[in-house]
Amino acid sequence: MADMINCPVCGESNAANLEFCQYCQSRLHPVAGSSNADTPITPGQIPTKKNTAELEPILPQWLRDARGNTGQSMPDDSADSASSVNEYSPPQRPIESRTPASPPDLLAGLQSQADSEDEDETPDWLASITGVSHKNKKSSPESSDAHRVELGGKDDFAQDNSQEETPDWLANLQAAPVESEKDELAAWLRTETEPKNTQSSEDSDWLKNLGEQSYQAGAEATPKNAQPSEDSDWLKSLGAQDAYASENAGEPKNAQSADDDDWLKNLGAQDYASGTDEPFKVSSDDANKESSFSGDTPDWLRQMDADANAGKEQAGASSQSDESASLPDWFTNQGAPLESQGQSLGEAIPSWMETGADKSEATEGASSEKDNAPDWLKEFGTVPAAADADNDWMKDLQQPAPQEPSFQGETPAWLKNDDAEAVSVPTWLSGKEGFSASQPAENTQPLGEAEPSFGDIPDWLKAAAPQSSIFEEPAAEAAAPSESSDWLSSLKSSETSQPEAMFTTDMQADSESVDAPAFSADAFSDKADDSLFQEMPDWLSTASDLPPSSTPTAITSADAISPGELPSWVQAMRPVDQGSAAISSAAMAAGEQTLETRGALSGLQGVLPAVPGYTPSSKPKVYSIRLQVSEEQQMHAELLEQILAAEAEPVPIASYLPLVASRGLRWLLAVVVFSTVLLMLSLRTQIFSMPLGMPAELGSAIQVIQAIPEGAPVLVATDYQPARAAEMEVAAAPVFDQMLLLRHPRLTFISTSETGGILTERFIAGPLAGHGYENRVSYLNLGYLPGGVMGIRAFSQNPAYATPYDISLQSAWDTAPVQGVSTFSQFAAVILMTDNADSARAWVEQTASMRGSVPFVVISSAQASPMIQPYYSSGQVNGLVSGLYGGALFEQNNAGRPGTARKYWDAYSISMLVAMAFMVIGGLWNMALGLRDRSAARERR
Amino acid sequence: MMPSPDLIFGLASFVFTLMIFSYVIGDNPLFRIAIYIFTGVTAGYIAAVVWWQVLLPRLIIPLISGPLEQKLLLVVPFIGALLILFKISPRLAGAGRLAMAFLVGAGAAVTIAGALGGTLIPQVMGTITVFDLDAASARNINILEVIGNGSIILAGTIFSLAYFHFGARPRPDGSMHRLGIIEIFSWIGRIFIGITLGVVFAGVYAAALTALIERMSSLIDFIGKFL
Repeated sequence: MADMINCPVCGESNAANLEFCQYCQSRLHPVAGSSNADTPITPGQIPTKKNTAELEPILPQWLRDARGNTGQSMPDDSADSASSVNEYSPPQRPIESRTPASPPDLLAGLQSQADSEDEDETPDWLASITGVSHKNKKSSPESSDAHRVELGGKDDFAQDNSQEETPDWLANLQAAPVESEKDELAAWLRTETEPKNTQSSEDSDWLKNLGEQSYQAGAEATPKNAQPSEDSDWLKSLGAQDAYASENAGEPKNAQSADDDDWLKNLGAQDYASGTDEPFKVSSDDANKESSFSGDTPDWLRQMDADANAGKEQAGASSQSDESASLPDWFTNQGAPLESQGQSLGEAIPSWMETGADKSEATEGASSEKDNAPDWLKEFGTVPAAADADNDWMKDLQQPAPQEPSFQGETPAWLKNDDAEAVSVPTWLSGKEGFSASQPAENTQPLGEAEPSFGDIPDWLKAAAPQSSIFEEPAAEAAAPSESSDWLSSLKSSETSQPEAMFTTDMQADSESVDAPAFSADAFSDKADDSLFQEMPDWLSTASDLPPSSTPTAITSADAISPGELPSWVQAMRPVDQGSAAISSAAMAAGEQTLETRGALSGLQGVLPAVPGYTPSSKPKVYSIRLQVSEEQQMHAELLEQILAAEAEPVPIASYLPLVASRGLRWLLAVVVFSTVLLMLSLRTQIFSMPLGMPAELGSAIQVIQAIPEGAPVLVATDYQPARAAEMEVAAAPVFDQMLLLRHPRLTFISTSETGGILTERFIAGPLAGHGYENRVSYLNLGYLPGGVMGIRAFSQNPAYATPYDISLQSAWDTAPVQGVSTFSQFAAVILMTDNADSARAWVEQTASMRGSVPFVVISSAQASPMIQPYYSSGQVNGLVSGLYGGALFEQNNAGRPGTARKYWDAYSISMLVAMAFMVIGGLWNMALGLRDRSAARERR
Repeated sequence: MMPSPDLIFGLASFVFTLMIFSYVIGDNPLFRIAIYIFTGVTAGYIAAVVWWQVLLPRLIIPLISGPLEQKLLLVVPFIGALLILFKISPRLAGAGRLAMAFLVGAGAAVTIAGALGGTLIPQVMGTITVFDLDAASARNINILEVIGNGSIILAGTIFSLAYFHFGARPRPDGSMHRLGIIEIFSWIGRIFIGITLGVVFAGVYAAALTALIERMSSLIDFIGKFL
């Protein structure tokens, strides 16, 4: 478990080598940890400081010397550069020569930088290369300092443009005085001038190697012809200069250095033999300078000269084709014209130098040369036809073609300046005879003047120069020429904002005017020398402090920058720096925001954490989900559960045997009753005697009726339904018959039922028809009294107001029946004919207070009499006549007048007996059934 | 020869009587037709009575030709009547609530007042006075009869009320039972109630039997006219 760590977020255990939690994907290790210095810098990683001074030993000697001189002449700048080196160091990786298809990483950033709009972050040294601002870049896309360095067509470009748009190093190159140039020139140039024709220990080894390699390359097979395509710019530039020198061969060259190597002399002779004028015609002053300049011929040039002679001796009489086959491309390309011209040194002349001579010949071996020439030389002559899309820089070279006449016809301004200043020639080259050797002795003046200017070669070019050891690379690794120019394309794109195009030579016209000098005088004049080493890259500036090594360390591929590393200037473009990191650290310490120090978001502040707002400090508590319940609570829960279950269970509905009347029994009863009644009515029998006795309520009613004054107004309320009319008429007819006969009362009929009015007319016209009562004369039919109990009360309070009209809608209270009656109590008696106990109760209740002592007799149906009986017992009703039985009794008190009661009495009596019999029989039947069930149950027990 | 109205009415009465009697054999269309006819005729007659005997002479005519004060007084019932008509529509039924509230309130007040003064108190007093010997002697009632009747009335009243007493207490076994005396009174009260219901049933039967006899008599009379 020692290699296990816990996730700070989820607390799960993870392997210590994991960066993120495998459960919650949170970061396991602090993000502010130091990065491994050995690992390549990846996007999002903080650039680390690198002291590029360590790289100093691997620098070529000439660069170290140049740095040393620069440190002496420009101490301030060196200090600045040193500081910058301390801050951002280039990667410890030399330019990889094995991969010409891809530009060196150091230069690879130039492309991106050129593409980037953020020019402000361009490192100083890179800015010195481009030397332009962002705006200038857009304004003159075709201009390029690099081109200018290489070909140096001063007049090809708009020299009138402001100095601001000129790169510093270029501007200085143009404007710096010669004196300053010389001061700023590396001491090694001076020192090399003194030991003329001697192998100086300070000579650059790479130059030596170059000569050796050139010799070896000449002995190698021809597949290495493609090797020159990998030549660095300095070679190309040199070739261009050579071409320029050849073009300007007609110019007077005042001096020819005596120290020139033979091959250079031959080259110069070749130039003369080619029919062209002297490639360089320099003034006497320039010749003087060049004399000293020639004395600085690098060893490698001398070596090359010797090699050329040796090669010539070895080749002997061998054919030209054999020579070209055994020589490197650039040698081969030079060899053919040299051979044709009888020049012995032509074989050893590098292609860049031979180009001038070759092109000065113009015609003869042009085609064959181009076949074997390096790609970059081929394109010089065949660019219009064979311009590859890859050779962007070559394309750019074609564009200034219209300026070629001026390029050939007259010396460009910058070249004119060369007459006086002889600048812009790379120091490493201009200090040697090599450059002037390619020209006639008297024509080497510009190169001699341009000596210091070579020190203004951009860093990338300087860095690329030692890698000319690519001569050692096998042919199989040689890349296409188009690929070799990729990095130059990047450089070109980054320098498109140059105010002046430094490289405007038309390649197609180059075949005819290849003798044009590659470097213009003004391109390396003026202040260019001053800024020569001012724009030295930081890593070079820092290295200036180191003592020059007599034995420079060879640059090997192992020292090359690894592909994954970022150049220092790219790292410098990173948003993270020490200052912001410190501020961010302070902010982090204050707990305000977090700073991402790793990953793609490195350097960004305030990035949302993996778990926003939640950083648990400890593992959350674990709560048990087990329910803590006591036994009592559990019992209650079970009881509740049972109750709920019982509620959900369906309850069977108890079925009871319905009491269904037997159809037979019903038919039997109906037949018996109907037959009995029909028989009794049909027979008109009077078997049964009239009832005897006199109930108290009936006696009281008789007394009330007999007590009514003669002709007194009597109020009769007829509240019964038509279905009970027969019974009510049978019960009321004896009463009214007696009363009408005895007292002739004025009757006022009123009803709380809608049908009461018509029933009154029926009663008057039926049972009382013999009395001769007429409406509104002897009786008054008020008709319907609305309002129910409220109407009764209203009528009892004010009869005239409650019922102003009779049933015929005539005024009622001015008629005879109600004459003298204005109040309820003024009626002599109140007779209520009702079949409903409630109606009797309403009349009793609502009229009790208004009735006073007025007798109240109720003639009711047999079904309502039991309910009205209590009112009689209480004295609220003075008499009660109930049904057929009451009518039959009352009839017996009418002096023997036959009535309807007697007519119905036998049928009624026998029907009552039958009913009683059925009830008794039914009761007995039920009793028998009960006894049977009980006996059966008893037997079962 | 034009049939006399008595013959027409007698024949109609005879037919409808037979149709109602057909209910003896069960529900049948003749019975239903007779019922529908009676219901329709009754409704129509009631509507005519209400219009001709209530609305027209007591509301419309006074509002048109009555004196001003009577008109002003009749505006209230007129508006109340219109509001009650809104109860025909379920959406507008709320408009008649005021008039209905007035009617219910007034009817309840009148009924309660009448019940108290006309039924409850007089009935209590009547139960008490049954033992009034003076009153009984005034009505020429024997004292034994008065006591006997009074005792039966009192017993019947008490026992019948005891039957409707549903107060009970729980027993140890969980069952609910009334007091023993209440149980006895209740049992006696059931007898009185039974007798009362028997009397009512007898009255209903007697009333129905009287109606049957009258209808049979009318049939016989109708048939006798043509014989």
